[in-house]
Amino acid sequence: MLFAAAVGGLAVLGADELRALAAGLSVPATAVLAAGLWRGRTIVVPWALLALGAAAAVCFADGVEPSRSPLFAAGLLAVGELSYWSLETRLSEPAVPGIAARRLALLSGLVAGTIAVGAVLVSVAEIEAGEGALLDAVGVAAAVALAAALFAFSRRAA
Amino acid sequence: MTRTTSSKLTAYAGLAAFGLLAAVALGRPELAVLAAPFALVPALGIPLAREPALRTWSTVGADRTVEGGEVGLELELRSEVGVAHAEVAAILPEGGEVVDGPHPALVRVGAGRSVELEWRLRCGQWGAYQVGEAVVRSRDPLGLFIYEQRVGHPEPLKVYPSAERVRSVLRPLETQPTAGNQVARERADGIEFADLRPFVHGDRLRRVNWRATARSGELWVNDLHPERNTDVVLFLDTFVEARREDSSTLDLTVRAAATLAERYLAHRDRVGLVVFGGVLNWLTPATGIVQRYRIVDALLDAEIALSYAWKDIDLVPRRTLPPQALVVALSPLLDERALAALADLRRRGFDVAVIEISPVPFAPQTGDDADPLVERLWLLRRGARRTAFHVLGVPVVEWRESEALQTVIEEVAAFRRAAHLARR
Repeated sequence: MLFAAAVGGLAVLGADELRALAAGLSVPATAVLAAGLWRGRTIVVPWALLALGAAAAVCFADGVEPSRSPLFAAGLLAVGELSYWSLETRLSEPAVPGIAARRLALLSGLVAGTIAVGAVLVSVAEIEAGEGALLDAVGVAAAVALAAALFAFSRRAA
Repeated sequence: MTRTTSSKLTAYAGLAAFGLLAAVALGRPELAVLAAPFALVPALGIPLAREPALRTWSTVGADRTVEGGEVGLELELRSEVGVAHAEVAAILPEGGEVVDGPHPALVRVGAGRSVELEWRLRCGQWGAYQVGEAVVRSRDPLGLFIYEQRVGHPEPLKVYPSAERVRSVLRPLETQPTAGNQVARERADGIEFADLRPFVHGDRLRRVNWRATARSGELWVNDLHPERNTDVVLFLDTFVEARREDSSTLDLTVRAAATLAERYLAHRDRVGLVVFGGVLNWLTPATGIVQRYRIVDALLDAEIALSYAWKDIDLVPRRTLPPQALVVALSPLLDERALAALADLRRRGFDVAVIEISPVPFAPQTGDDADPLVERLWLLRRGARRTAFHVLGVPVVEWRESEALQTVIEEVAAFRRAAHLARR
C-alpha cells in the first residue's frame, strides 16, 4: 500500500496541468487496491496497476523527464509483487524461518533489474532511428509477438 | 498433481502487452519502460518453473480417540529440486481442527532437503476417518504457476463418541438365568432379601430367620432374590435424521447408544445392537470388553441411508432378539417403518422402552411468513405417536440435546413403575 501511495503521489506531484487527472487515477487505484487486499481479491491488482501506470503516463505526458520512468516501473513492479505476496500468504502461517527474507531479496533483485533494464530502454529510446509507417509496423509486430510469446509460453508450461 | 497458471502471470502478461502496444500507438517510449518489468518477470519465471517433485512421509499419533480428543500428525516433505513457496494444509476429519502448529503452514523446501511439520488435531465428531493426508499448494520462485497435490499416506482413525454421564440404567422386567448384577424378580439363592416363608423340608439351616422363628415359635426362613444378568438390545432408528449444521439426531443417538452399551456391559449384561434403517446392521447380544469395542465400531458405521423400501422386524435375525430381552429404542420418531417395527416388537412380548431423540430443536425456526399451524400440527402428530406407544405399554420419553440422559432414564423408569401399578 505504501508503494502504491508513493507511486501515485509521485505521479500527482510530477504532473502540472494534468494533476487532477493523475490524482483521479492514483487515488481510486490506491483505494481499490486497499479494498482488494482487505477482502482478499486478486482481481483488483491488475486494475490498480493499470490505473497507477496510467497516472504515471499522464505525468510523463505533462512534462516529467522520461529518465524517471525506470523508477516508476520499479515502483509498479514492487506494488504488484507485494500485493500478490500479501494475497498468497494471507491464510497461511510461516512454519520455517527465512521465507520472508528470501522473498524480499528476490523482490530487491527484480526491482534492481527493472531499473537497469528501464535505463537501457530509455537510452535506446533516445537514439535517433528515424520514423515512418514501416518502423511503427515493426514496433507493433514486436509488441504483439512478445505478448503472444508470453501467452504461448504460459499456456504450454501450464 | 494439477498445475495451473496463476492470476499473476495472466495479469502481468496482459499489462505488458497493453503497455507495449500503447507505447507504439502513442509514440511514448516511457510506456514501454513502464510495461517492461511485467514482461521481464514472466520471461524470467517461465523457464525457471519446475514441478516440485515432493516426496512425503506422514505419521498419525494414534489410531483411536474419543470425541474432543487430540491426535498428533507429523508430515515430512522432501524435494530434490526445491520448492520456494508451499502452503501445506492437513486434510482434517469432519468437525476436526488444528489446535497446535501452523496451519496451513507456509514452508520453503530447499533442494535435496526436507521439512518436518507437526500438528495436533482435535477430533470434534465421532466417526471412522482416514487421516494423514495433506494438500500442498506450491509455487515456482516467481509465483507464476500453482501446483496442487495430495500428499501423505492415509491411516485409519476411529473417533469414538463421547459418553454421557449416567449413574443408573433401566432395569429390565425379566432377567436371564446366568449370574449378573441385576436383582431378579424370582426367588432363589442370592443376597437381596425378598420375603419370609415357613420352613419346608430341604431348606438350608443358614437361611432360617431366627428372630421371626423366636417370635412365632415356628421355623421361618428368608427368601432371597438372586443376581442375574439381562439381555439388552439397543435399537437404533437410522431411517432419517434431523440435522443442524454441527449436529444431528443421529449424533445424539450414537452418543446415547455408546453410553448405554458401556453401562450395561459394566454390569455384566449381554448387549446387542440393531441398526434399523436404510442399511440394516446388527450384533447378537454378548458381554465383555470385546463386545464393547464391537458395538462402538458398529456405531461408527451407523449412517443415514435413504431408502424407500418398506422394512419390518422380520428382517432382523431372531438370535439378535433373545426372549425376555429389554429393547431400548433410540429414535427421532420420524419414520413410520421404525415405529411399526417397535410396535410389532411390543406385540410380540418384548420389553420395549423408547428414548425419543427429539428432532424439534433441529427443526428450522418458523419465520413471520410461516403458518404456525403447520408446526402445531406436526407437534400434535408427534404427540399422537407417543400416545399410541403408551397405549401399548411402551414408555416414550423425549431427550433433547441440552438435557442429561440420566433424567430421561429416570422418566422411563417412573413410567414403567406407574404402568406396573396400573396393571395391579
